[in-house]
Amino acid sequence: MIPFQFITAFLMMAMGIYALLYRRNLIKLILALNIIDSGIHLLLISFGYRVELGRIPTAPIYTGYETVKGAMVAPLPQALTLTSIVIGVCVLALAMALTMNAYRHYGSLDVKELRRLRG
Amino acid sequence: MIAPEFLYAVVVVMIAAFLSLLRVFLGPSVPDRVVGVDTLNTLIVAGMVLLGAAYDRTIYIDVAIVYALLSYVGTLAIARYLQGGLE
Repeated sequence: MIPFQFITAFLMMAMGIYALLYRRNLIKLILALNIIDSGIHLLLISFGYRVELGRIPTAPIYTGYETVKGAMVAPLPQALTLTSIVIGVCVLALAMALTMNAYRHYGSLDVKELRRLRG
Repeated sequence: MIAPEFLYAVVVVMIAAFLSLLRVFLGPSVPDRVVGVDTLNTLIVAGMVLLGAAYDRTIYIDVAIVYALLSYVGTLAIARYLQGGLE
């Protein structure tokens, strides 16, 4: 039995790859890249989840931990995901800037139109 | 363990969130969808505060405060774009 978080993550990645292959608008391609990113983040975070009988899984933060005494989830995937989110925002900003410049030069965001050589 | 009254309150908030998500999916015009997203943001803030109380961690409340601020900025940006004032 596969946990539903993994199914959702792989579904998001598959939808992003589908949109990357079959959409023609440049902004929709950037959105598809971001959706793939989010799917990978969800997969990473759900790898760190921890189930113990009788103990509620809680965030790995020691502030106020004395009153809860829950099972801490793994902190390593959260650090990886934080790094990955920063990289994702960098890629998004650069791709948006390039898209704006492409629209200024070609007057269109269609990938098929942009493929034509000009000048 | 989780107190049952907080859990039931979270379930009620979740049902309301599904109803507003229906407005986002079916909304005939763009402002309808924006209002649906705004309602969803407020409900998510309420759900975050309730879950922070249910899990007995005070740190989770800070996430709700930051999310309330950022969702306001996002709705404002979409509204300004729809009004045509982004030139």
